[in-house]
Amino acid sequence: MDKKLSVVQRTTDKTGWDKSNQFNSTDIKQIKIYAARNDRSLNAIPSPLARIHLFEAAFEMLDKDELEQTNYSGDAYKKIVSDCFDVFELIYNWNNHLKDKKDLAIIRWHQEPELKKLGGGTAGHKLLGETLRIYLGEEAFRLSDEIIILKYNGQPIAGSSPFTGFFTTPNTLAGLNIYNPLNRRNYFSKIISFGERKPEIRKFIYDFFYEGTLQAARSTQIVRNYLLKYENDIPAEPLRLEALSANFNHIFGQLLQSTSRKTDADYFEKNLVRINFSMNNDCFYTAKLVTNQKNANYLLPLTSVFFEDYKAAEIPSIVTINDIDGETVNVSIQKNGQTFIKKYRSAPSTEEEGKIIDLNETHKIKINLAIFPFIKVVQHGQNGGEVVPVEGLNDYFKVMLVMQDDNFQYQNSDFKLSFGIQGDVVGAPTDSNLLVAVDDRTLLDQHNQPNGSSYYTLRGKDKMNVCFDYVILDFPELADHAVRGAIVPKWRTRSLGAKQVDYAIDFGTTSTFIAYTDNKQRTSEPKALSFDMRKEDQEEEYPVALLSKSYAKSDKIKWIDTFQEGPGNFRESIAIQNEEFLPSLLNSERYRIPFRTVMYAKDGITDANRRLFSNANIGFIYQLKSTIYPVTELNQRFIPSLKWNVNTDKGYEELIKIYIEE
Amino acid sequence: MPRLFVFGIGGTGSRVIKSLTMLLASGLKAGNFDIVPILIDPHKDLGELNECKTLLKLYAGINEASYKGTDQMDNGFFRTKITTLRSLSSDSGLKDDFEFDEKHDQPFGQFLDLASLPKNDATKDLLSLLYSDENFRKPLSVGFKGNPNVGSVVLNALKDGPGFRAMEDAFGNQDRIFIISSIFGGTGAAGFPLLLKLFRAHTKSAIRDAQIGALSVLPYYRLTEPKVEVDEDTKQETLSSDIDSNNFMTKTKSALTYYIRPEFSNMYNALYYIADPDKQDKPYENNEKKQENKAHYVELLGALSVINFANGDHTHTGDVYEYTLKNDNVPVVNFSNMGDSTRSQLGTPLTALYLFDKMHKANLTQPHLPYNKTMKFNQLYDRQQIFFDNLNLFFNKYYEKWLRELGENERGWLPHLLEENREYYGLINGNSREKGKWDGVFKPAFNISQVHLEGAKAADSKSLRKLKKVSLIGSYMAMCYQAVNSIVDANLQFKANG
Repeated sequence: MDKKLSVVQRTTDKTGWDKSNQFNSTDIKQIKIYAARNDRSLNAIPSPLARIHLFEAAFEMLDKDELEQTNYSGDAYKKIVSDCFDVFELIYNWNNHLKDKKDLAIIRWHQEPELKKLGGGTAGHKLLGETLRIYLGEEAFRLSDEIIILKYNGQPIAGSSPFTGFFTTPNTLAGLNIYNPLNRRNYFSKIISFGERKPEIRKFIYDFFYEGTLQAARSTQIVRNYLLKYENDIPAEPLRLEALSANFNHIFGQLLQSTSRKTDADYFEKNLVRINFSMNNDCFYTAKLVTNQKNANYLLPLTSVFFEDYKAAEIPSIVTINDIDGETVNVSIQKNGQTFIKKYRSAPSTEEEGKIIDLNETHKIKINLAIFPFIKVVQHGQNGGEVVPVEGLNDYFKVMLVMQDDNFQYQNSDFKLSFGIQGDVVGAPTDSNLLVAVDDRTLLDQHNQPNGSSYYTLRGKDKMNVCFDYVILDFPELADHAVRGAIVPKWRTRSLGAKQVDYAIDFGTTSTFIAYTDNKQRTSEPKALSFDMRKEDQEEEYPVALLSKSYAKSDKIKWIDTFQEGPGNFRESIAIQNEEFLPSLLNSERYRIPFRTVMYAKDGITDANRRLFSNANIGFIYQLKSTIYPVTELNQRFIPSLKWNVNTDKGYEELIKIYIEE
Repeated sequence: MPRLFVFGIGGTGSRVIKSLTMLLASGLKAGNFDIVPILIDPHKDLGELNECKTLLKLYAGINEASYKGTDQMDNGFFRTKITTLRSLSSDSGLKDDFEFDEKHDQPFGQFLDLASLPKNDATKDLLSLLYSDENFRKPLSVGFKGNPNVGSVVLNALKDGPGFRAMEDAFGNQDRIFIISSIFGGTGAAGFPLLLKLFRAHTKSAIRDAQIGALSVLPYYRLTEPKVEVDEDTKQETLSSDIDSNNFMTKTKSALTYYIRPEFSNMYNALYYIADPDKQDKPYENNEKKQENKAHYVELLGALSVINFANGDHTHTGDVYEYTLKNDNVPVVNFSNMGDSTRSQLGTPLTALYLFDKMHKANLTQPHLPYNKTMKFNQLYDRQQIFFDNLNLFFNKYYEKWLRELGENERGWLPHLLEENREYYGLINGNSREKGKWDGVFKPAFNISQVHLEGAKAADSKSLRKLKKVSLIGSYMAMCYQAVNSIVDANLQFKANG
């Protein structure tokens, strides 16, 4: 039998040198290859643009293998095709990665200016420019006069190709630490076939070659043939896309797009903060908790993006915290069939797993927080629309943050509150129209003071305070990524009624009395002001919303003492609240009208800097037996005899103003 | 005479040109072309490159001494003129007769002067997508280590070199170009498309429009697998060689996808492909520095493609040729199983050259042979010592070694089977000519004595006597040529089937 001296057997009827046909792509696909110890073969295409051509060759070989269920292309080529798809996934997730602060960028290699620049350079540059010009003269490269280059952390990782859309660098990308949330592993770390990819990615890639200008390009024929096999696996529903955020986001006359759909990286914090007390779910929104663990208490690991897309009131119904064994906690958001989930572990084993930060156990840190007043004045929007805060009436809110650091490592400023209004978060200081004012009152002290307090307000730049939807509490650097959690008040809302209420304040020498009446005809006695809203037939109302849950009321203890013991033995937080802020209840039990005309104030504060709660407040606890030792800073004191002293010392004027303000 | 510029790129290029030299020595002619061999190989220390250069010089000297001023001789051993590029363009500044390029020792990155590109230069970024860091780091001195993508840039420097300028200057309207390369190596695979592009884009129309042929050699040998060496401290594995012949096919596949583009096909007139991928049981030694590979019949058939290209007219573009053996399952190729057209083309000249070697050796050692006396060749052997030293060197050091290697390789090429020097009946492998009853009685015998008789007959011819007055060496070469050819013609039927 005659034998063609060839890599492919093709029939022939003549021996010796004779006319034949050029190989076609089917012939080339038939060539059987062997596993080699290195992948030098990948450089075999005789062009400086070999890497770009190689991706096309790989698609063609793989196509044949997939059609005939053979395996001639080998892993090296499968990896190339897979890496190409990974670039598409990276593009798809691009905008989300940017939000996640990944250092991704696109630069442009613009053919003519760059070649010209090389032409004017050294002999080596000149040669390079001339050679590139020769090979870029090939038909396919006339499709675009530029190559865009994708860079991560300053390193080029991929470029655009007129054949396959993208190609990657021959340098290993295995160490590229960028996590693909869709296939839940780092990009370029594994061979993933087209069929194994998520439906949205299949559609994203398919559309890239079949929906834009590339569908008519001869150079993309091979990839389009490859994709045609999967025609029936492409979802019909359009993808939700937005323009890719980059300096250059057009190639081959097509806009590069990225998904506008959020991922779990958008919604979840990197760390989950475990606290040692239950949260007060009367006043704060908490997630559904699934666990049989004790002390499964967590701040919400939700980012501001969550509040862009969901309402605070949805939290209990859509957010679930599943504490599996104390070491692993899954937090999920489920709504309308869509699920986002983040796994947190005490010792994360992968980049994508979040870390559980046990505040008290590991770091000896405790916190508590209170908001006053806990009421938002609202009205219905136009045409009976959504309930919205009434502008100008929600003009005073103060947030107390108390913390304890038994290791004496941190200062007040290591703990920070930011305020969120929907998706916007305002921290201190800020350039927006809003700013956060913070005053540290009791100072954490590395020598002898484990407790601290800071008082926050969110203000319009030239307005009064502003109310907010949620608070983000930032902790000191306890882990690689920011340690923080969201605290979401379940605001009591009130519409303004038609009732007019008249108040009277008797600012007495020793005691002050406040009474009010809503009876215009004055036919009934005025009532003493009290905040004692724990009546069974009424919705509970609190002057102060305390983050920690109060104890269950029993006959043995007073209402006020249900708060008193403090969350998770952070009794000092309640003491600070009572001393510096205001008690949870002002009723007949302990703190009641009339109360003493006494201020509790910090020394050494100038009149101009005197601010309610920040450094002065009504001394409700004055001469009352406290259940706890005084924990607030030593340089604070009670200032009685306000009325007398003001005659001799103008300094008391400011204190009196604050007293009345409170 | 028009010229055929034959570019031999890389190791395969050198080896095919070596076989081409043997074919030309046998008297085969490349149409009416003079041959200008041009060797391109950055691997300057390679033994086979230097061997090829020496062989070409030897051939050129023998040709010159034999045929200078003897235009009346159309045929003969070493008849086709091999010219050096340097001789065509004396002021080109070329340092070497056959070498086109210069040695590059530095790493690729340094060659491109990457260090002087600004830090965030877009071209620098593009390059790091096109080439690996390793590509940039490795020195260019040992070929391109199987990286044609590197070669495509480095070899482009040729166009600014003296060799290219010399060729540009000398290139005439009837001249042709032939490019020999392997598809699975580094240098050749890169050089072939690059040269094609350079020629087809050339400003000189003679070059731009020239008939261009090319031989692309596909895998036909294997190398021993690179050894894995484990560093005792780091446990890191390294390979003893960068070249793994298991990659040859993969490389072939990738490169072929590039070769079959229409825009590539439009650039050549005739492209010859040859391969013999799975017939080697004993792989070559995997030594990049030496590459001491034995001559192989695929190289011989490749050399034949140059002859065929020169003998045909190629006005089309994109013609492809392949070689077909008559019989596949043969470990050894010979005239009867290779291909009918090849047998008729090569049978006579290669057998004649083989017998020329025998005859020449006898001539030198047997002063009493009639023509040695009548033609005064005995004196010639002494007077033209340089010529005869060269001819002896050609046979003893190059031709016989080449033949031996071809026979020993896998597949083998063994056309001649001569156990002893006197009787030639069993000369042709696979087609022994039975000694007839009357051979040597009424019919001339097929042996060395008959060769001498034919030599004497030729020496006595009018044409040789005339030639003797012009060139005694020419007449010696002509006598031997006529003698061995007439005995081959009388005894062996290469032209017919069987």
